[in-house]
Amino acid sequence: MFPLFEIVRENREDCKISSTTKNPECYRARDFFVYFVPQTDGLPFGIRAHISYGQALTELYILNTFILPNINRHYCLP
Amino acid sequence: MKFQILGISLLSLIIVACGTPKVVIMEEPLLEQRQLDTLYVTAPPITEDEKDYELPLYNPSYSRTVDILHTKLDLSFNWEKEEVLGKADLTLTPYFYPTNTVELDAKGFTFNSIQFTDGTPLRYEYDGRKVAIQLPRSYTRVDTIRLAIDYVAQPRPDGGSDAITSDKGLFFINPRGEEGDKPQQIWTQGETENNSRWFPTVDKPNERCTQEMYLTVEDRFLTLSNGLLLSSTKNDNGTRTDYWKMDQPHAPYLFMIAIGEFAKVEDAPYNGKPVNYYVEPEFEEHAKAIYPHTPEMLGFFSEITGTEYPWSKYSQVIVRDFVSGAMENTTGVIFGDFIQHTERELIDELTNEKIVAHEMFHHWFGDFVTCESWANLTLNEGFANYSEYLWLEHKYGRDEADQHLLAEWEGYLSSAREGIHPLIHYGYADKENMFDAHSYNKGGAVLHMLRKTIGDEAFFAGLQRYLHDNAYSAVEVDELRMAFEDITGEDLHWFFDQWYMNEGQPTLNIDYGYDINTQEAVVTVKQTQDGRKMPPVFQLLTEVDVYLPGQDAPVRHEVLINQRQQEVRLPAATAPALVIFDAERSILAKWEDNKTQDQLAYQFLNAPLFLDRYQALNELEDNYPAFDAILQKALQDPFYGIRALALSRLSEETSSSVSLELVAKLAEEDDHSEVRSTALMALTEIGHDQAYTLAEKAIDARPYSVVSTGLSSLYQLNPQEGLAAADKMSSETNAQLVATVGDIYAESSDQKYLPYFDKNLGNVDGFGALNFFESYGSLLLADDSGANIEKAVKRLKAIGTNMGQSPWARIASIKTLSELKSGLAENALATQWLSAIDQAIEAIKVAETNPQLKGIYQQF
Repeated sequence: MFPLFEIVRENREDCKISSTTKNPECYRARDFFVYFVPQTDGLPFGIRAHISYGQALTELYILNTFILPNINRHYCLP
Repeated sequence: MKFQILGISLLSLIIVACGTPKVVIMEEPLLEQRQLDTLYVTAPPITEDEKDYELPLYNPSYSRTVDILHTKLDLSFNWEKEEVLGKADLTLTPYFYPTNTVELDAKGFTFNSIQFTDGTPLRYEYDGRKVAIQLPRSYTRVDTIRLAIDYVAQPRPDGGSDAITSDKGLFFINPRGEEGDKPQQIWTQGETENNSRWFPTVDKPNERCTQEMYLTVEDRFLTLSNGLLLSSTKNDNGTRTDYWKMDQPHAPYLFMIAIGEFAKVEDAPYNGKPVNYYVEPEFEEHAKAIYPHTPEMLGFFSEITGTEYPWSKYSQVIVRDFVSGAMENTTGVIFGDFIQHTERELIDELTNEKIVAHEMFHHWFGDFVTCESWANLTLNEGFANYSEYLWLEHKYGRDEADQHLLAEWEGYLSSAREGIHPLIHYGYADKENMFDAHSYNKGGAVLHMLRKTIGDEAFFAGLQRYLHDNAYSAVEVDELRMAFEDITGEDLHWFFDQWYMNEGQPTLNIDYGYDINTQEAVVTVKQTQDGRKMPPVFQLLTEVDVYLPGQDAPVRHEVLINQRQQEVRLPAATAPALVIFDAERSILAKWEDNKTQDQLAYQFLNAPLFLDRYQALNELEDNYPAFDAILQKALQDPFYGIRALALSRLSEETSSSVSLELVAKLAEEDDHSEVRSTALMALTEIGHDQAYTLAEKAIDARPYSVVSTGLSSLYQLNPQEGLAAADKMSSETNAQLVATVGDIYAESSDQKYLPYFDKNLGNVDGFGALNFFESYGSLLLADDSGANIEKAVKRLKAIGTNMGQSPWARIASIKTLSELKSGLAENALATQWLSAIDQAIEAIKVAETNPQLKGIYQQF
């Protein structure tokens, strides 16, 4: 069984490619998928690499809606 | 004093008696002997709280009362009612003890008859999930029982999990043809215990039998099942009956069928065994790219396991709406349609072959030798996970494999933040929870550590021994340990206890120093993990490389770490330029590796592994004096992953001293599309004078990612040219290009591009759908007149309420409606549309059937 959470993680590759389309949110989203965002950075929560399909939808919604407009990309780096 | 001495003695005794790896320091032997007073020990009374003590949760392996030897199924299908019309002949025998009852898993069945195959009817009791068949007498293990069961199965889901989203077992796709162009298909997903929704069996991983399968379908469909297709007979009523036979025993969860209008592509046989691929007809010419290197992989895995591929054929099929990523059904692997792309879309894409490797390796670890219980799932999934590393290492080299390993580590460590459990986990709350980053990522990483601990020769010999000793049987982790112990002659309890039976991983804090008096390099290793949750001390047999200035190669030392804080001293005539602890980079741990910037720079320039260079390039600071020179070298690294990382570290400061001609060369010529794209993007952002020319060239490249970057760069550098190029590509269906063209059109604010979105809204999927819909919303809001809002709201509502659309498109619809509502708030004309938007949002909420999406929708 190759689980769905791995597939969701592979989506970061899509995002990496989309990052070339000058979409800064997606570029940041790539980093979110690759790296956990430490809670100590003052963010309300992190986006993780291993999440279920449903969780991914939830977090991507939150990511797009609430986090990305308000943070510096620096926070996404490990 | 007497009690003090006694106390110390008792403590020592307890420490010795426990013999666990948690013990750190032993007391010095006592030299003084005294006659002690008699000590009376009385157990304290049991308190009220203690009365509630319970044994810890333990999920045992399934107790076997009967052994199914053979399953023969004759199946046809009622597509209208989504029913399986089945006749099952089961040959079985009592496992050990005599029995007069046969209990089978059969979920959601209606039985027409249950009898012996000679026609003798049998009494039975059925509770909707299990059927208990009363035999006329007690049978012993020398008896053979043959049952004939005539039934109708109505596969219905009870639930699902993160890894497998539905437990329905057998799925009808577009069964009544009501979902437009979506293909009509039937396929199955047995793991964990869901094949008993379409045939009666003992649905446990420690059961195993041979099988025959007769499948009657409309003649337009192809069928696929386990084993070989022995005959295909056309019937008078326009149907056809295919007869599949599997001569080797395998577990019931590995039984499979797939039915659909597939194109079947034959590849070169492997060792005389058929290798074939099933895809949707329009992807027929791309089938070999979709399932890359399959015959070569069969040979590679046969070689490294010392066990020739044991099954009769190798087939792979893509189905619609699959409930997981892929499934290792014996000889008939099912994949989700996310891997179905054209050859051009798959350039530089390793996802497909990693999954092909994963499922294929299961044919040794999982299908040939099967985990006895779900608590031991990592004996299936850990190996399958590690096969991805093994294949990448073999095919593309150690750098590619180590880059993959890094991602696997990150996956496990991020997952472990939410909780840890032993890799062999008898205390799971739900067997479906076993499909997590422990069983997969950690399982693979632990095998890699075992390999590095005992050496390649012993590791692969151990695999061969394990497969040989346990062929066609179910195993627990002890059998794996014993195989490696038999091969190495070593007691490996310490390794298996801490990595398989215990939980967590070390946190290693490493400091480096030099003792000029003794001329020794000093490595101080502190284990700082929480010892209340996991072993306070992990025993690590590893290697340390000492690099002395002026010497070509490091001196390697083997060291054993077995203390909470431990100082390792290694001979060094002069202060080392660099010391690398865990020189093979195999330990699964959280690292605090305290190197200086000079040491990191030396490491980048001299240490051989991807992870050496990756760590150095990531941790070197922009203001380090030699940073630009190192970046320049990194841009020429032989591995694309390092080149891409170097490009991501380019900044306005560094770009002045790094050769941009080199970056331009990477953008134009690099072997890997990711490097080309990243380089072009960097040049565009810097405003390099070659960027425009390179962007023009990029839009004619083969890899879509490069084309997409070229288009985006062109638009950024010259919007008119970019729009013209986007227009030329507006008929492309590649998801990346659709997204990029959508971005450009949205930025143009020109409402004439709305038809482009109308055309593609229903086709985008996955992560990209969110962005594409967002672009659509941006374009709509760019028109103050709101002339197109009404039509857009209807369209978004139609998508959001259509459960045939992907979940990504559905959530993107409601999200875009919500953004329209916010965006229109300041528009004087807004009131005429807000009501319609609210109604559309409510309609989408009502129509949604996915509970997770329903939860998200509450926020709108």
